[in-house]
Amino acid sequence: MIVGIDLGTTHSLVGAYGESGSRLFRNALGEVLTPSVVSLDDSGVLVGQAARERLVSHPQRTVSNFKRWMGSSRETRLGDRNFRPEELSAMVLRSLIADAEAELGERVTEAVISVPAYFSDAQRKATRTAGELAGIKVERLINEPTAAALAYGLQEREGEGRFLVFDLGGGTFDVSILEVFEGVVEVHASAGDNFLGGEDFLDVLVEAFCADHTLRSRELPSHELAQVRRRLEQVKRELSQGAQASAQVQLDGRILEWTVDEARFTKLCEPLVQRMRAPLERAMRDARLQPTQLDEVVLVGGASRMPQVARLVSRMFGRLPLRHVNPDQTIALGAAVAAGLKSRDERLEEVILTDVCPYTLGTQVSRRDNEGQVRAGFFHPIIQRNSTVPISREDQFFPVHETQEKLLIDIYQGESPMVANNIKLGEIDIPLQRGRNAGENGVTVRFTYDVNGLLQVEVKEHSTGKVHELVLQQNPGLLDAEEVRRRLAALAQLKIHPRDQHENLSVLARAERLYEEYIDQRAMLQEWIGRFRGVLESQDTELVTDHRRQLHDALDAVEANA
Amino acid sequence: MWALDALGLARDADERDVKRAYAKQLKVTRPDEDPEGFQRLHDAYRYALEHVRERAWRGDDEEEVSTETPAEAEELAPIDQIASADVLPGPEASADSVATAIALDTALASTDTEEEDDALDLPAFLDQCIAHLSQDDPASLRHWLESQPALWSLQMKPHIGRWLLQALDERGSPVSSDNFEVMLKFFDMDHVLSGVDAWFLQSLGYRLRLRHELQPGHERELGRRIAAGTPVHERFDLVRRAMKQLRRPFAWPGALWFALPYGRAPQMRRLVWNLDGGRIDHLGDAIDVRQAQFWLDAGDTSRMSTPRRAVAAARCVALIWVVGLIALAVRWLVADIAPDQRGTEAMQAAILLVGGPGVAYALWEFWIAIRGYLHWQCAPEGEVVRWPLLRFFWVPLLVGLAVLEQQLGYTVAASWLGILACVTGTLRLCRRANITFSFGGWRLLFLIPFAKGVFGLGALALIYPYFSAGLGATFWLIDALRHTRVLWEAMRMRFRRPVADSGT
Repeated sequence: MIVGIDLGTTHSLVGAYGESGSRLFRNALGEVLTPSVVSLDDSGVLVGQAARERLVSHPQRTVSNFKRWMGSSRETRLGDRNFRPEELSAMVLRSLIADAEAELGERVTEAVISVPAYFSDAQRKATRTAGELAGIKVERLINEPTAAALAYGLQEREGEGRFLVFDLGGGTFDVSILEVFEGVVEVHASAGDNFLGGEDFLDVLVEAFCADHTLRSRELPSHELAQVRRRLEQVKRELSQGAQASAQVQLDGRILEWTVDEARFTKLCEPLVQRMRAPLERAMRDARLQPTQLDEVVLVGGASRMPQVARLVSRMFGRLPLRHVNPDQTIALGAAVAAGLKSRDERLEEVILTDVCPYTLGTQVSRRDNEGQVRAGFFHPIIQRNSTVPISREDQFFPVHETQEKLLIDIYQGESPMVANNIKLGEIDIPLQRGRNAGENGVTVRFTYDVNGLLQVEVKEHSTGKVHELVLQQNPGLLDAEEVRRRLAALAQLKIHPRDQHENLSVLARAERLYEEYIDQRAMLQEWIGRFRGVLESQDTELVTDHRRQLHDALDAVEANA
Repeated sequence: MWALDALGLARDADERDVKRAYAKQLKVTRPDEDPEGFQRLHDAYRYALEHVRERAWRGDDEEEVSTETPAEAEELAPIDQIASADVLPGPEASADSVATAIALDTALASTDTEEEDDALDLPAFLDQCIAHLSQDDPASLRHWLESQPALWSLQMKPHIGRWLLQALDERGSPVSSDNFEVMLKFFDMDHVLSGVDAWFLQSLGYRLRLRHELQPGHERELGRRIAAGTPVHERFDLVRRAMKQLRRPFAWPGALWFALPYGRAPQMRRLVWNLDGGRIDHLGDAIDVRQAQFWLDAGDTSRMSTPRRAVAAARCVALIWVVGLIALAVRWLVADIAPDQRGTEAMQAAILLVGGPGVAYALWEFWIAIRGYLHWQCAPEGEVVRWPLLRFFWVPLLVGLAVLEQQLGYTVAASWLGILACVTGTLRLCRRANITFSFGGWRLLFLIPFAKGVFGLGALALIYPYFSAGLGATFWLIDALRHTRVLWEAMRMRFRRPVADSGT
């Protein structure tokens, strides 16, 4: 059974394609959205809502937003262990797979995971590694905007259409321009910003709150900061619906009140909204389309609920966007469709997806100006961005000086005309024979970029016909096969709380969080926590369920009265 | 058309047929199963689509009447043509295309919710942009650009960007490098597929930055670049002083006065050189070109030039006069001079003050000449010097002349020639073989016992020309033997060159 997973910065979902179309699987708490948060407690690892609560009560042992670190070797310390982002994602994946298996009643061996279209080679490999560490095969990664198109069933529309998918998630921003016709979904262009998302809008509110109360967000203790962020997250959501929102935060014994209205929030977010313009413009330019040639603009991602987004879209494209599918679930539903496509589900026979390479790939060249001066460091593109993949292109290169002993073909990924600002992926050294002049010592370089984002470089010498090959597997900051095996073994030793414990753990974690937040209620909360722990030890499931429900209601009352 | 054939279509197929054929074949040749087949199919699809579209456009163009409705005007897509061009639209690339663009913008503006002027006054807007580019700091510039309603139009923005680049290229307005980057980033021109030549952008940015730095008040930024070797705390004053001088119209007295302090001329040369790699002709409106040229020449120690001589002469005059006047003042104040002696004293003073600089200058020229002679003889083999053959045989020539003179009886001439040969030979060997004699500190004590011997040797050399000439010849021979291989290669190259060309 192949499932489709949306591994998001703030939330993750899992789904599959079945008789009634795409469906999403609920987790142990009955929700389809599982927060992408991992926490370590004394007996093992927690993922999801329980972990999220622990962001406030045990911030040193909890981590979130690690999707941004995928592809790098940044390690997080939880307890006495260091975790890489792949391992954290793997734990989230395991939790999702367990949820899917519980509902399906069969084993899940493979998944299609969605990644932002702008994810680099390294980031995609890291996502695959996370799947490996979670014990599933990940053969296909689907770009999130394509998933959105599948979710809206745009492929099922009659005739043809051109759509712009505007995906503003928790941490990333993606723009894609798709054309759909005759059962084909073609991506024309894709652009985005890997560091722009709903969390940045939240940061803006946090900074404004701190400025108003003359605090420094960096100097707040982590549990207080987490509390502030939780409150302001609610404020942000309320602002999407109303003209004004207020919050009350209890810090350090004081109660701080804060009100913000829509106009002020818009003004504060102005720089972020401006940042969204550049990818939109670039995608439209690369697709060579005018706004009137678009049929629909589709909004995806929780953060796209903000009215600023709708305003930007209508200003730039002269139309109101589509968002009738729940923006939080769109990508996961689309990933489920993609999973169905991969498993050649009969109901989905007719849709072919083509995708594009989101960044330009090329090599470094030197140029000679009219005065004969040679300058190095220029980027010469071989595969242009937004070319349909798979693609293979070649170009010819020659040495600059007659007496050169070798030719260095280095491979860069990026958009800047100077290689210094681009990302280097690898290099090949071609030794040259002396005695031949520059014209004879040329090489032909062929870049082949496949559907799964693997780049293969082939360099053929003109004079000898010898071929040098380089497959870009290794990236600094990623794990090699040996490392993966080791970490898999290490992860296996980590105890993960069984699924049936999730509800209990979640409510306990919530109680602990409230203990941190509501100082005047601490005595009462402590008593409840102690009592519930005692009940848990009795292992009487009915009693436990009963007690849990009561505790849940009591905690609701505490939060409602605050 | 090969693409249409590859898709199995007839000649008169339209866009919809092309898409349908592509979709049908795509189901068979899937990208993940048959990458190469898919690539061929996709290439055919793209070519066929372009072919069909172009045919439709040309067909439309011929049939259409002059007024175009906005919907059809979009099909023209002038953006396509400019976006794929490698060069900027020149002035001849039309008021027409801009006019069309502006008309399109009017058509689109009617769908906008905001109120806008009917037509954009392009020249005035470009002037405004350039003013902001020259004066704002980067953050304000970005903010201003982002808030311009004219730049929200997806269609107009790239055009305006190109026109702005062209205007900047023509006017050469001062723009700091930060502002230039903000502009490139905003207009999406800082990436490799933008259609604007990277080299052009680099040189333009460099030129505009230079203009910006040369403005009065920006000495700190200029200094960071041109006086990079100077310690930070001295840099600002140095550059400020230098720029003040460079802006003054050139006049000999002023320039020579400025050149008096030791090391000033090479320093000024370095600064002027670092401005733009030695090119100064295009900087005429920021600095005085004659002034700059003067400093380039005066500080150039590799060749003789009028400014250099003038500076040396001025220094000689200044030195002699300062020292001389102080000495004379001291003498006249302290010593008792009889009234009848005053005349001769005054004459002597006059001779000192007039003749002294002359003598000093002559000594300087002599010193330069000696240095030039030694450089000629002792330069490493790879350097290009004048009269290479004469250079090689110079020492033996001197030796021969010395011997000849001695034979003829002109012993004085002979001994001097001998000494010259000896000194030249020794220095030539030592410098080219990098042999140095360092007698620092306590090692000097070892020389004392040998001092008598050294003087003795010197006397011997003076009296017996054969001795000194012989020494010189020996050293010359050693040096020649050390360089045999290089000399042999050089000889071969000279006689080989005409033959080598015929091969290729």
